[in-house]
Amino acid sequence: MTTYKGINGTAVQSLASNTGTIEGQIWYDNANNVFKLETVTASAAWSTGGSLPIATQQQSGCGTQTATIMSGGNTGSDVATSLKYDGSAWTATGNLNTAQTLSSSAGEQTAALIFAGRPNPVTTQTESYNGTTWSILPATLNSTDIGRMGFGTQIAALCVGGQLNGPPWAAQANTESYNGSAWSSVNSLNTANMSAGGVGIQTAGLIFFGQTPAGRVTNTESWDGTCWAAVNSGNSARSNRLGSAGIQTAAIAYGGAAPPNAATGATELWDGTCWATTTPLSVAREQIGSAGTQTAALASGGGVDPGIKKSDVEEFTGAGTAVTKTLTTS
Amino acid sequence: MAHKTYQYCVAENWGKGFITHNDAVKLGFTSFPGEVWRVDAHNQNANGWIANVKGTHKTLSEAQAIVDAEITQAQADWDALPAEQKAPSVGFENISRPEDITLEE
Repeated sequence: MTTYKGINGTAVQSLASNTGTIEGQIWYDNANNVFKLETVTASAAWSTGGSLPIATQQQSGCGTQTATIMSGGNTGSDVATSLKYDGSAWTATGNLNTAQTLSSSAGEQTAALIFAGRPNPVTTQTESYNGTTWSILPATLNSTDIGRMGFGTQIAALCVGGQLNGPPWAAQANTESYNGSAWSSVNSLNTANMSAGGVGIQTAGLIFFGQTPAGRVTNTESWDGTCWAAVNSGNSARSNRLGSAGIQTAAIAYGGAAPPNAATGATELWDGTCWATTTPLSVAREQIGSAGTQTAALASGGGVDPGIKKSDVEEFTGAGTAVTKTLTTS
Repeated sequence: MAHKTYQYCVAENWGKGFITHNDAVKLGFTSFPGEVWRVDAHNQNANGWIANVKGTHKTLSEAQAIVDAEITQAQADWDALPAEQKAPSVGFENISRPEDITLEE
């Protein structure tokens, strides 16, 4: 009789997790009493994730695809809700101190920062999350702009661009840096931009797409810790809080509003030099709550048209990503 | 007979597992108002997915009618908004009147 050991030279290992397993290996998950197979995805695609409990747009997220925190947003009114995602389902955690929408976030699920929300006076406020509760920090942003982009960690973040919080609503190029205790102004973007994507850390960031005085654009600017530099542009212009995840050299942009003003599901991957189009979101939308990495991104909620908010969640898995499958008898 | 590129159905997205990675790689999906889904294939895989999600097959015209009804309602909601909420784009809001959607065969 042919056996697994006979084919592979080793018996099926009994393990508590997939740590140390390799592509093609079958192993026994002794924590869940099921057989599993380690595979690698051949193609990139979006699949559905656990839906939000309430349709929400303009929320702010950070963390990974399987350990996310999404906070604030608008469900018909601005909310202070904060939700954690574990890769399958959302659970409530401590609320923000102030209901807000259009905020920016930095950090991870257990140590996050939220800032630049709307309405006034929240625009300059910064709140910090310790894994359980949110606290208002003494540090306040210098600008009251809205629609800003943010990234970094809980103690080292960047807040970029945005627009005036009132007529003429002009796009701004301001950049502010947070050192764990205060925000300070640093060098500005080359082109004023708002509602764009933003990823990275305080010393290596990327801002892409968005809306400049010229309209919705494919602009991309790279931050080296001191200055912004224009780099290669993307393919599909969009703004309105498109989804963004990743790092300066490996980013993903998804959704947003394309000219003249239609929600899009377009998805593009940045390899550090160029943007390339990949599989679009199933649910075209803007005002997305996003988190994750280039190869494991999360799109939560968003909006389509006035009053139409979404609870749909989609998970992006890039090509060549390791995946553990449960083997069944069917 | 003309080759059909897409299939349409109505199905409720329950979340995780509704569209798996394998589904998305094999088929391709697009969501429309009224829980209308376009499956970018017209084969056994597409039929299998629709069955798995307990979807209801719709012809192009049936799906279009559902989408039209949703868009008409959204347009009426827009028309009823106060003028100040229909201000020119300020970048962070989705503030244009919902446009008609024409489904492809």
